[in-house]
Amino acid sequence: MTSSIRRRALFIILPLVTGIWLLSAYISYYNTKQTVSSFLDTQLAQNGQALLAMSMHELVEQLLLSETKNPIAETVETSLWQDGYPQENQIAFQVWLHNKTLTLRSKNAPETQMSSIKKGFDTVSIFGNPWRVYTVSTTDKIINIQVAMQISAHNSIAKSITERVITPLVFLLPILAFFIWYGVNLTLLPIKQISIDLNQRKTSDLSPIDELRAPKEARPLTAAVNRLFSQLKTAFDTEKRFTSDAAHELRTPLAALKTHAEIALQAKDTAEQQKALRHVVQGVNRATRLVEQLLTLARLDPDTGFTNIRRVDLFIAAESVLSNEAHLAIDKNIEIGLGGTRGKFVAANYDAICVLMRNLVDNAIRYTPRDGEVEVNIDRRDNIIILSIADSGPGIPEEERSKIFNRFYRSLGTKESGSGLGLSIVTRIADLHHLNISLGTSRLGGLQIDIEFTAKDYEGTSEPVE
Amino acid sequence: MRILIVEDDTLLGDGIRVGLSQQGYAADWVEDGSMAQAALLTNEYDAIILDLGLPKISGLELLKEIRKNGNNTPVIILTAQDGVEDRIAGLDTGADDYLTKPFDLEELTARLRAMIRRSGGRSSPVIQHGDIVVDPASHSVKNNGVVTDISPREFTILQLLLENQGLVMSRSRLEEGLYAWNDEVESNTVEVHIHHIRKKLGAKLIRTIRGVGYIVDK
Repeated sequence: MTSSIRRRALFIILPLVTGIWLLSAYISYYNTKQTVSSFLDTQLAQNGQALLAMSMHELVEQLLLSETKNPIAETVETSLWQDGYPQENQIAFQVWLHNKTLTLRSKNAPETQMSSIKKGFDTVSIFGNPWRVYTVSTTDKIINIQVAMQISAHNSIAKSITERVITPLVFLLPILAFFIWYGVNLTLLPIKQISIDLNQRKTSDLSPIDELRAPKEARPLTAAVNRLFSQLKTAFDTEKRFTSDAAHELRTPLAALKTHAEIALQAKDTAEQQKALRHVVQGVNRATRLVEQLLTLARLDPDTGFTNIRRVDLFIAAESVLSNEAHLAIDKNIEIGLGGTRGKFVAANYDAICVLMRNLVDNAIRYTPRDGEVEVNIDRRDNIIILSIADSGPGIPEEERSKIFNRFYRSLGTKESGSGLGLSIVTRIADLHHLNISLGTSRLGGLQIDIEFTAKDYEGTSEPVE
Repeated sequence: MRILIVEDDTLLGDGIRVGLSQQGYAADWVEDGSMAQAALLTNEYDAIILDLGLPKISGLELLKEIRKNGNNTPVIILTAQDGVEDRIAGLDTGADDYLTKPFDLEELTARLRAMIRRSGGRSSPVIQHGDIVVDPASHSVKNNGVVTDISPREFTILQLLLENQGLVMSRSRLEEGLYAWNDEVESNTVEVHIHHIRKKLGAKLIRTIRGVGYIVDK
């Protein structure tokens, strides 16, 4: 079945109406037939009575005049009801004497008694057709009258009455169909209007549809569309803000690059030129890192979240991250350590958790002065697994702590050229995993970042999953 | 010409400083607003290059503060925001010009020259005094239509004096125009440079006001 409401309404309503109409036609045919039958029965009885009265008069005279007790049998053309129905030959009668002498009969009546019943109505078969017979006798039982009518007459009357009831249906059905079609159209008009409006919109226009304009039944649809619109709008706005932030953040490194390139071009001696070119390389590295971080952040879509959430051993993840970041620490002669044991299971996206740890460890190494210390610890407290990264760096003053997770925030006075995005990435990953981040002062004197995970135990197995 | 650079980005700040010194400017570079305020209290600058996105005190707040203190040093704003509103806000707060990052070093110096020129009440790009024509854009000096060879430092002193015709310029003010913080200041250099200028352009051009400084009469 097609999903057109209009067609569906027609397909459902029209057969239903036709069916009901036919049923009522049948019922009315049946009822009419009953009524016609009883009406015609009454007429038949009256005819019988009248015939009896007339015959009585005639026959008694004849019987008295002639000695013969056998009056001549006569036949009479029956054309009692000349116009219309009941038709000729549809009515018949017999006049009997003493139930054995047929004195008078209609031409279409048989010469034997039509009904064996002594009095009242009977339905019999004459010459193969069904007839209704009414028998009536004088009180002395001398004269006996049988009047009959073909039953087909009943039926044809009922049929013709029923036909008159049904005929209008043939004309009314198309009219009904038209009104259903029109009515459905009228009902769907507001929805059509909404779709026209939506078609004419600019792609950027995500303002909600006026729900009051939609019919009540269509409101859930418009509400759902509006909800989607608002989500899209949020996503677009975030995207737009992000792109604009990113573009602006790239302007400063680009300006620095350009400036140093120009200095190199104008340099009077090689040493000056070399220095400027080194700065250019430094600037490219920084811009590259910024772009990489931006891409990482963009990939962490807050709507889709992570699909690949598995059981991850935080300790093993930390081992792999630290081994990759160790060279940074070695360059600055920073002592780096990992505390805890294997088997600290959490439910997480392994890659994302590695990105989170890498950013935090990277930051710690970056902001810790030479010969310092960075320590990563993975502890379990009841049902909570805590990942903490501590350093011996300068730390972050209490009032600045709330700001460091802002995008592109860079702590003042550091000579480190971070992108300002690392902690935004950390926050995004933590949010997607519903993790709690807290900042504090480490026992090494610098910053300590704690991230709380819910422990994920699997039926007592302590075997790490790698 | 002494320029103050207020820029929190290390690489860019340093770049501008080096680029400007290449062009013969004495450039000081500070990384935030409070350092800029301190620098402005102790030195006199011919122009300020101000980044808007500064930590602690924003560029705009700093600019407001500078103007409130009656300091009319020309200010050019460097901004990563290219929105019209930001530029309007900057200009309305008291900036004389703006430049959107990334920019051309040459454009920056050209704009600095124009700003310094206008702040001296001059609209022509060249400074003329009698037969002497000084062109800050090309660092060239013509005496009676003849190009005169002149060193960058001599040029700076000559320009300072000509920009402030009729005003006595103290020795230290002239020194400030020659040296940035990192530069080593040699004693007697101003006298030596004045001597060279007089030799090239005539002794009458610059008058010595004993114990105070030097003046180019109007």
